[in-house]
Amino acid sequence: MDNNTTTNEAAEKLDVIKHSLASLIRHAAISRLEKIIDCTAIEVSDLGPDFVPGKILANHLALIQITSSLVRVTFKCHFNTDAAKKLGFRAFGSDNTKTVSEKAVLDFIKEYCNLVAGNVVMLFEGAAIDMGIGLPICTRGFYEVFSNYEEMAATSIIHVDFWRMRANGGEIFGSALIEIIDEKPLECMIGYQIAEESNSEGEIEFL
Amino acid sequence: MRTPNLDLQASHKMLVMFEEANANTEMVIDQFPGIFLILNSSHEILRANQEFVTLFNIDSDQIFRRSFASFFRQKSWEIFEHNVNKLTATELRSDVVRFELGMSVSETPTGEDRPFHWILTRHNVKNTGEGQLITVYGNDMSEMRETEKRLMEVFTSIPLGMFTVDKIGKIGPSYSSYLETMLDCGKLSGRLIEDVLFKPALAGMSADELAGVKGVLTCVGRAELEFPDLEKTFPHEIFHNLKTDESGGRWFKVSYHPIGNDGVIEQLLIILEDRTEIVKAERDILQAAEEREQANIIQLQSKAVYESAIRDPLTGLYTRLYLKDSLAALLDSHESNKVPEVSMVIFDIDHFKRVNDTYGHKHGDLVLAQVAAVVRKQSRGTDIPIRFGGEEFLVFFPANIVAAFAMAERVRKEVEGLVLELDDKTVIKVTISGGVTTHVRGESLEDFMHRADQFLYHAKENGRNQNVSEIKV
Repeated sequence: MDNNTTTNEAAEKLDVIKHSLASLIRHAAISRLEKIIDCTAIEVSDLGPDFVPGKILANHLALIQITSSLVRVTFKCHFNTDAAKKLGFRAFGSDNTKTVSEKAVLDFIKEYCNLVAGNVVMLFEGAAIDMGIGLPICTRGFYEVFSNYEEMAATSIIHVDFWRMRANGGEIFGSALIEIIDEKPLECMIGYQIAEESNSEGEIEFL
Repeated sequence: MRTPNLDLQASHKMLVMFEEANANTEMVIDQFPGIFLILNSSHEILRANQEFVTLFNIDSDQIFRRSFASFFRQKSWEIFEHNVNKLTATELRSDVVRFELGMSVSETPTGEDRPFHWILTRHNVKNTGEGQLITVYGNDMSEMRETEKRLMEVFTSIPLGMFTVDKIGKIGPSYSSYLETMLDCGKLSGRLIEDVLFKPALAGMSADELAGVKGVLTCVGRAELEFPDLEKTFPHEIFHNLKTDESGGRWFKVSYHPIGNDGVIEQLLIILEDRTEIVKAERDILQAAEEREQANIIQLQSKAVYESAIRDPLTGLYTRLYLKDSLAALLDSHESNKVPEVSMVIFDIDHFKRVNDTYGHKHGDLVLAQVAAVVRKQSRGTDIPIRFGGEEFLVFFPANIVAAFAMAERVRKEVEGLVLELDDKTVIKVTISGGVTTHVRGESLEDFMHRADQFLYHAKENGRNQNVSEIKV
């Protein structure tokens, strides 16, 4: 086995790790959205070929960080308030989303980010990797221009994933910036099977 | 139970503070008094503040990624795009571009563009996802333009020529529209004051006035403190005439006002007041006064000539020449009953030929003068005493025959008492006779006088030194 073959195999393995992590985060984003908006018919799609990372996707942006010594994940939810209202109208408890304030929408999305981050932490725990969660913050979508999606030095390997989620005539965008700091311990994530959630998971039963 | 991670708590606290600070900054941008936008390289709107959202009454989600070109008319957008290119094109690259351009705002009822002052700046970020970002600041200039317009209307409608000149004597772009009329010129902006104001008058100026004109042309750029002394030499009245005859010219009163900055005259404000009508009126008044004076002199001369014609130089009484004019008026007044009665006396000095023959004409004239003086003395202001010829005197009265007879008697008695002492102590004494009558309406002057003459004849016949009338006194 020559050196080139070894390098290629390592690169392929890293690629699989990246996609496994991205898949896990996207899963968390979709599954938490289903829960928070009480809808299982979420249409998920990749962004078109014209899309380039760094392009602004909406007027607002909420983000949360999930970090460990192995990996740092920045999950972002890009949204316009009207579209977000439509998407989560059940969560607002009213068909008439016109009466829902902008602040309520921002809080709703921040809560959604919290749920996604919590779910990601839980999934990593399943692979015996401890993660910490930051606070979700919300700002203007315009600040996406300050994101840096360039490949960085070997100490931090960057992978990005963007997707659109539609339901109830509304939509939001999800994105994940995955910075791999130590890839070796993350090999356990290859082929990681996400367990089926029970409906009662997370709920406390008072007997 | 996990140990609380104090570092994480601190990070969370920082994040909360950051979010609040960021929200505050965003609120400031939203409340920015004017348009604030961030455009990408395709001129799509990535961020619009509340002013812009309100201006177009569009939901902020609808504005996101909308082409900014859609808010402009085609031609206006081409200008806007040109300015964006100035900011971003490699060869023209600059940090800030400022310009004015109208934007079609749907609320405008007339559909006209609203004037905006734009400031464009480049926004540099590492992320190339949106290409070159442009920050746009737009200030609605409508109210300012409206105010300017109103001021301009006032400025242009005043009947004065107001304009500014710069260091080389060029007229500035803003001047009162009446100035063009005053100077009989078209567009004056950029033209030299020397050509349009002073040149037509230069030929008729004195050396001092020419120096004053030079002072006007060179005062911009000098210290403001020098102005009061300089201004004393400036021409303050100009006759501006572009035509060959004087009637086409205008008289201007000129005043000068320095516009200074930091103690130096930057521009000179010149105000022209058209005094042509005033000058003309003054000339007319002067001419009228001269004519009036001339007329007065002629009138006085005519009066003197007339007086000399109607006054007898020896006696000072009226002559026969005056008789016709004055008696015609008096008898007309009697005919129309404005004067109830008109009477007359005809006097004749008794034996006057003897006086002339004995003492000579010189002494005869003295006698005539003294008798005439008595007649004049006994006449009232309304009576008309006339030397009819030789030694005959007539007096007409706007009075009845009794008053006339009484006057005739006073004259007769005073003449009787007259004593003329000659150099050789010789004494001359004369008497006078009179015929008194009153006018009958419809009677001619000749007939009236003829009847009086008849009574004089009777007085002479009856022995002289008496008055005879148709009434018994």
